[in-house]
Amino acid sequence: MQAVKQGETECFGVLFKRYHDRLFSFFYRMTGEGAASEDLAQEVFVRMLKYRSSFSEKSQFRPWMYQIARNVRSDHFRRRQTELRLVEEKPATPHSGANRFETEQQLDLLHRALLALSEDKREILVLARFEEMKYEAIAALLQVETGTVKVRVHRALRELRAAFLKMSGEEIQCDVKTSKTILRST
Amino acid sequence: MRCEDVENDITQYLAGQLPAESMLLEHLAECGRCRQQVEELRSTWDGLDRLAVPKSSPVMNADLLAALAAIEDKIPEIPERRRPMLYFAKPALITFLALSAAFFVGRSFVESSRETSPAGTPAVNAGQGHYRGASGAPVTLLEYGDYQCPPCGSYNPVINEVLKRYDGKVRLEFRHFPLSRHANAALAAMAAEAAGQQGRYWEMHDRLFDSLQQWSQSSNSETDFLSLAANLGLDQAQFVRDLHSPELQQRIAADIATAKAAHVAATPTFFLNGHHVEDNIPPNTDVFAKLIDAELQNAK
Repeated sequence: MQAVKQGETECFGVLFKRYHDRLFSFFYRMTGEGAASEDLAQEVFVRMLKYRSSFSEKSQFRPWMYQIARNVRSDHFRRRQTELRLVEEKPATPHSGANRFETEQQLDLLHRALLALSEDKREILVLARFEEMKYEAIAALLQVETGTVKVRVHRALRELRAAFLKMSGEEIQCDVKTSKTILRST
Repeated sequence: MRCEDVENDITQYLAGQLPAESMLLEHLAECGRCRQQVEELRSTWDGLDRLAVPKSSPVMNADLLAALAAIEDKIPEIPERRRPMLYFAKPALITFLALSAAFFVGRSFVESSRETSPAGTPAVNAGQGHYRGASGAPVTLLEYGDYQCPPCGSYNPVINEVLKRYDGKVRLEFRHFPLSRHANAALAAMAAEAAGQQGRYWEMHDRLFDSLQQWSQSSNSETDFLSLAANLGLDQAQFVRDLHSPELQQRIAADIATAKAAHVAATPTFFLNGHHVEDNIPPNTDVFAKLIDAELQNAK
């Protein structure tokens, strides 16, 4: 990035190639939307150029990039209320597959559960699970204590599991209803 | 360690980042309840790893290319603007204009918030431009185009006809100006550049315009471009590499920079020997011919 700042713009292509997929994945896990994630990833690079002067000799590239990504994410969610909400408060109905993710359907439910988390919880989970960031680095990014990160990641994971189990229970009920409908119609 | 302290270390343990001083493992060896909790959370933690992420398209979009171009210090400033060339020298053409009016509704404008003042003289392309026609031709027709712009597609056969009619006298230079609202335009420009790396730029250029309807709304246009490359007999592996080449992205960025510096606001925008041709020129060979004849006259 220092080279880009000094006018060696060809180096920017290298940065783009190296980090584009990572940013796209980050946004996809945050939004669940492929096209929007593509735009958001590109927006991070646009802002890198726009705010290149904020990258100092002492800056580390990845934390700086994630700071921009967080701002882009924040602006995106402010613009669009895309978070999914759990609409029914039914008790969890764990079943044999609830502990493991063996089918596409279960993975889909897990992703829906992730998207159902609050933005902050989803973000800290994505940073901890997918971005290979040390907890100290996440703490620096979020400007909190490392201990706070530990507790927040744990709580977010527990909430994710609870949301998944709840959705799994609802899914079973849907399946049952569908089966009955099929039986009646045949 | 007490059970209520487990949450401090549990996800670090799952992430393989457990600090050496942690007493979590000792606690788990003794506490079945916490062990069960860890195993339940582990299944969710591991499940996250299996969430699929769709394939992304690592190609700079038009906004990013423009931002990159804006910081290029090689781009000269345009000191002054010239009046656009008027092409309707004869009143009879006004009738033609009226009949063609519906066509121009489709001209691809960039966002209205952008610069829309009359175009100035475009800077000479710092990179290797793409020229079609005799290198010593006295007239150069410069087009700023977008492969996903339907009007550009309509002009393409007209321009080719003009080049045939004025063989040796006119050459075309095509510069990329992919509009941000055309999702596949930037990659299409890259496809043309990638074909150019194998000496087939203009063939891909024509095919992109000819097949615009097929790939314009495609959610995976890369496959469409690969298919065009295969039909041209290009080396597929090299084409794919070049389709994402930072160097070729730079070339497109350079084109966009010259467009913006010359206040180009829509596609297609034409310049004849550096003079801006009025935006609403109809896609008609005879209309272009009149302008070229005048330019050839001036060149004498």
